[in-house]
Amino acid sequence: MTLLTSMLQRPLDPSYAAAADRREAQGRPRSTSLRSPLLVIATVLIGLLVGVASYTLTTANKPRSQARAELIEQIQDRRSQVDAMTSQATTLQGQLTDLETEQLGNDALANRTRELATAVGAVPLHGPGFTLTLDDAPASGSDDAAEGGQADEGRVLAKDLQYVTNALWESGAEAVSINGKRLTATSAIRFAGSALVVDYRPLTRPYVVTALGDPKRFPAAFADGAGGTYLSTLRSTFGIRVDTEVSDDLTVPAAVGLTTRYARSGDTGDATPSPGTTPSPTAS
Amino acid sequence: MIPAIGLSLGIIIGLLLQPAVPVWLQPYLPIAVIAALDAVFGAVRAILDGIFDDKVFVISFLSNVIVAAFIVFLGDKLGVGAQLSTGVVVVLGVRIFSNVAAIRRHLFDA
Repeated sequence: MTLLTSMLQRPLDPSYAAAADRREAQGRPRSTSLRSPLLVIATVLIGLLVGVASYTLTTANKPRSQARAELIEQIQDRRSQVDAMTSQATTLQGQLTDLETEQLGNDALANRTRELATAVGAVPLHGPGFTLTLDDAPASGSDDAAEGGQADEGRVLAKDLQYVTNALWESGAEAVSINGKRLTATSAIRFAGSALVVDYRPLTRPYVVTALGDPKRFPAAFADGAGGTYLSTLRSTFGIRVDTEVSDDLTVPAAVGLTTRYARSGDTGDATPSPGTTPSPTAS
Repeated sequence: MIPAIGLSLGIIIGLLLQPAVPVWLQPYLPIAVIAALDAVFGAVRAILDGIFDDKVFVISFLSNVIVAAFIVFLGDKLGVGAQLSTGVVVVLGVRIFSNVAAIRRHLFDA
């Protein structure tokens, strides 16, 4: 306690008092003048120190925050670009579908095209079905939890969405979309860092899965099947919020970017399967 | 009055010139600033007590800064830099607070 007591009770340098006593003994005033050049130099030095420190310490973080702001700006730019192009692609696809139906005079062919377009997800669909809303557990979702790693349990993972979607297909879903992104045969649900990515587009919470299917059978089949079990486990074990809402008329948008870049259909000539033989899946 | 002018002059010069501080010196800046603040508040209290001495002030300022920087340097070498910095800040902070309390008693009788 001596240390604390002396620190608290006598914080002033004893040398000030000693110097004052010495001067008094010599017959001079106890305090020296405030105009001594030494004092001026010292104060200028201290001011310089404070000024330099404040400048240096505030600018030390500047390049980093600047780069961060630039990156955020870039992300927002690109995101709005993607949004614009997505809507453009949707419009063009709609036009394409219209033109196709116009040109295909043959009813059988037109019907076939329409069926295929419906099946692969080239046209928006609507019908009965239900929406599943998944969200992170209430405690999680903050940045601290994301960086803590250990507290990450309450977050919705790509695995969860994959499982739920597969269970939806399994129990008879005819069309599925996540946060307004139609799932097709080439869709991928992945993790990129801590963000959920569907078809290379990051999603934001909450995750709304819309599935269309037979109103009598489909919701019950899902709830009774593996998907329902999985969701109730998520809810009870990790506190993930799950809401199910059955509806008579839901809309699922058309998929964007249904083109293939390298794979071609067999009719173009140099492809291997000869006309007449049906191409069989070799590896699956 | 003159010390205050000197102080602000120094701050203005520092902000205007913006000298580049070498990277190895940057960790000592916050500690040096706190040590300097301690010396300044001690000086203000001494002025109000009527026992100010310019030599004591200069020496206390220099020794404060040097000792604080040395402790941080030593701590960095020993791998306990953060803890020793905290110790220096705590000690100087307590001194600053009690000096400010004494100044307050002088100025406001409170």
